[in-house]
Amino acid sequence: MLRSLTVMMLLCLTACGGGSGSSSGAPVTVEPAQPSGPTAQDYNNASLMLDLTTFGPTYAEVEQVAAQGIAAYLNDQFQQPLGLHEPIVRRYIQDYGFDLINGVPNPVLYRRFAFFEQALTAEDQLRQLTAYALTQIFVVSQTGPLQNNPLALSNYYDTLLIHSFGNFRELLLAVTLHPAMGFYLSHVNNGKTDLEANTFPDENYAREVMQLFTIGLYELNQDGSQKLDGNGRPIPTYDNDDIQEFAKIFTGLSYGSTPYSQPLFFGKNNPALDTPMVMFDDFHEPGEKYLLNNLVVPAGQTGMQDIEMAVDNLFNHPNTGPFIGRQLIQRLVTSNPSPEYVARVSAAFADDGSGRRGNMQAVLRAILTDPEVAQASRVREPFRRFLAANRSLHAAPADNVTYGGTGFVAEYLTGQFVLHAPSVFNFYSPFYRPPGGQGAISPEMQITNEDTAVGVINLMAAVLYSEESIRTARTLPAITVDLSEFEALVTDTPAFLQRVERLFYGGAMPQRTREVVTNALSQAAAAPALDRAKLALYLSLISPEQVATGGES
Amino acid sequence: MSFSRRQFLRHSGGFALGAQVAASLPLNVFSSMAHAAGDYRAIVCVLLAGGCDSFNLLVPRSDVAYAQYQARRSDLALPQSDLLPLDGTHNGVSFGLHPALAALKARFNAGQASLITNIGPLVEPTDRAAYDNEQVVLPLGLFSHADQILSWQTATPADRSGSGFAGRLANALTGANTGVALAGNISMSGNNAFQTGAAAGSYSINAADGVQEIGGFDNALVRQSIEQMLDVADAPILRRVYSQKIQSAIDAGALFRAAMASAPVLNTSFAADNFSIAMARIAQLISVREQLGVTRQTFFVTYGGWDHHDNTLAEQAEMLPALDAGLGQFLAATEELGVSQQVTTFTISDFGRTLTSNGKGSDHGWAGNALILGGAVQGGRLYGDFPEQVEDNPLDVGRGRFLPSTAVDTLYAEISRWMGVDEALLPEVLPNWPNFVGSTQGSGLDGLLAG
Repeated sequence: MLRSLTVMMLLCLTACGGGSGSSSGAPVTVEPAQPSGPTAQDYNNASLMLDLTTFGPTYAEVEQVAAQGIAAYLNDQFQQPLGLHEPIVRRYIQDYGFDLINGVPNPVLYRRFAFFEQALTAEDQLRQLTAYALTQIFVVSQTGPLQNNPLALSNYYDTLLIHSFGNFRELLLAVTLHPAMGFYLSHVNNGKTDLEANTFPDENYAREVMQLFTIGLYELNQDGSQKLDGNGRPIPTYDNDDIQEFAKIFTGLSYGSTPYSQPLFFGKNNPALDTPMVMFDDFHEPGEKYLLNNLVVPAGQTGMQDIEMAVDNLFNHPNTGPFIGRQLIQRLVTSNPSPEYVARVSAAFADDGSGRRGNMQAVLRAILTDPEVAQASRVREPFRRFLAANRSLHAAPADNVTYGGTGFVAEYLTGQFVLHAPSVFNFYSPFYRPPGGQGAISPEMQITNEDTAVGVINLMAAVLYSEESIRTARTLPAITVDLSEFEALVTDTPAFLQRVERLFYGGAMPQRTREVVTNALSQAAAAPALDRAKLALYLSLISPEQVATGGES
Repeated sequence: MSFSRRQFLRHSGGFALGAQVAASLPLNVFSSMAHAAGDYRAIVCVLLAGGCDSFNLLVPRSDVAYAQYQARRSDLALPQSDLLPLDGTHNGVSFGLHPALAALKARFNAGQASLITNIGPLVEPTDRAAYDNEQVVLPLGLFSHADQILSWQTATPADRSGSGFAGRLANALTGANTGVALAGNISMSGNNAFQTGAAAGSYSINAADGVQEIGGFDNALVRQSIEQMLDVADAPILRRVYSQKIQSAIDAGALFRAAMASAPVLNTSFAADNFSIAMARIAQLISVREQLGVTRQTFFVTYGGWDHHDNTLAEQAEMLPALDAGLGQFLAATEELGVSQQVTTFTISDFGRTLTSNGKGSDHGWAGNALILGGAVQGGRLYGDFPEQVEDNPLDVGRGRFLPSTAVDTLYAEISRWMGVDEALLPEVLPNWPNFVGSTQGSGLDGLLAG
């Protein structure tokens, strides 16, 4: 599929002299040395913040944030209108129906189109990215009806978007009641104990909501470190009896919507998947239930009252702040935050300054304005490398139907696509320590192997060199990147590198890459400007210094 | 561990890596076995990720035992008449396989396949009382995917940071491979705990497409630039770890591609599903073992999606045919290559599942049944101690979650011996093995693998 790249790319590098392939280059504006304008440091700060809070900055954004400052930028992001996905899916359904596009069933594609459109164009980039981070904590994956009904996962993403700047407690409740989660972790149509039939409440959601979505396996200090018992051993947060109690809580839910105004009932299997699940109390486990920290749910409540109590129980557990905070830091900033950093974020989770717990805006502010942000170090997530190349290089739909194709090739080469993890344990573990890594945690290295490492390099080549390669179902529209700004800049190597540094290196390109790219540009001096720009961008996008950021001592 | 460039490969061009690794290992891990010409052995580990409900892969057929099974499983019970009969009896009970496992049934009855029943991770011999009273060290995170999927791969269930069984096995067999070092441990499914810790490293291959080449690497300027960028010996650790993956891909990739280009076309045909494609790729790699210069190999492949809390019967009926076909075709391919006696394939999974239903499916359990097949397998009979499926079985720790009657270490010890590890060196490969020697949970598999 991508083999042809090796022959087709770079043909002109040294062989063809003269004649630029394109003349559409935008005029280059070298920053004037105005006394009142942003400083180089302002640019670098803006570049780093945008690297962390967008799917890939544009240079216009770098200039804007350099001028307005980080605090104003974050305030502005928190005020941006919601860029929802489901309305885009509905637009596609209206325009194209449920037929096939070139042989591929549309419903499978629509939620992918919607994701690309918003990831690449939405103004609320921080919210979009926060929701994306949450898809890797509250994992739901494209399978069965979640694949075939495009409303399911677009609505789920929207649910995460809506609560990204809200409160964690409401987020947890919304996730718990979402039909996509109900299907994925099988607590939809989960009935009460039936001793005659010898069946018991499904333990799936009960287990994972504790292990993955709120408190984790062991009691934590607020700095994320494990509490230890008298023998120096970690202290489990729950046991299997607790799971069986929580399993009783999550009984009685069934789908809350239906495609053709059919009646709702417990056990229903033909849902619309865009409405929260509803409680059928006859199927909810009666009696007392025992939650964590000695909380007893009294008998006789409604099922929803039980669920609200359980959600509160987990929300108020001391582990939830550090457990979730640490993972959000990893998704947004750095792989190995110090205990102090985690503690500062936990404190913001516990109290936003006005006594409220779980304020997501306070948590995000604490994460993004921490002093350790300047030392952010991580191996970039493969799928986000693809998205960043697209967004920063102004990827546009070739025919106004889709953005970014469908991402199937990107998924094949990176092993990732949003809401398509192999299991509820996501693409990687937040605790993964790569062999040879001297104990450092790097979740993204878990999916980086000889095959995928080369695959992502070739995906970068595909973005730059081969529109065909990004096509997925062969006849689906390609994306087109716009390299004119780089083509125009490439005659001025320092200016070109500065642009690359501010778009792809968070404002700090290490010396090795600078030398290698400078040398390559010089060796290819005779090649057309567009070819030189592509070569320099390609090397810049695959350099280990770009992929594995920071960590310099 | 340092990351100087090109340290991984080309032992023939200098034994630098071998010597370096040797210096860092205790001397006694080197097996004394001699490698005769044509001597070759490989294991293929198939991870059924998600926790396969293997008490519906192997089901008692005798009336009394079936009635017990049916009562415990309720809506999850397979019909008695659908079971594919296995020859012989086990502790007086006749058994059958899931109706989708026709090839495995044929291989079982031909003596080339078996199941190890009620096997699971343990740290030390553990009976019900010891479990209840926490008198023994138990596996971390029992009943949880995250830990149990690791425990099966590492055989160190009390330790999360450990190396994998295949990683340690490969280290104990150092000296067996002289060619492409990374070819000793090959994964079809990316990084995994099973092969972690192999001093010679491991290599991930794309099952469908083979070994990929970096775009533009045939251009001298691109190649030179990339090589310069990968020279990161003094860089922060994660950058070195990342760069090393690229470097291995470049160095070993060319050798793999060259070897695989000479692979014979097999007459055995494989199905088109992802699992079969992976098994076909493993067969191809085995066919070029001499070009790769390896006499001991481990292969790893994941077939995921077995976490059936819901819709168990339909999902298993949909997913098991590919497992059956892929395993059957792979055994046929090794026969065609003349190495069926030298390749042993087995399944592992996060855990077995609750015998009792949640009304739609089953929940997380502990012990399960593992498949094993190959020419060396002394099949046609079951191994281990299949538990009586009654509510008051003391091995049932709740809802039909069974305490293992055989430890994972016992299977791995047998595999290690077959691969050529001396008995005295087993603790290097299986740190908990000394706990099990002489115990019930540490025995019962002698003679599983012959030759």
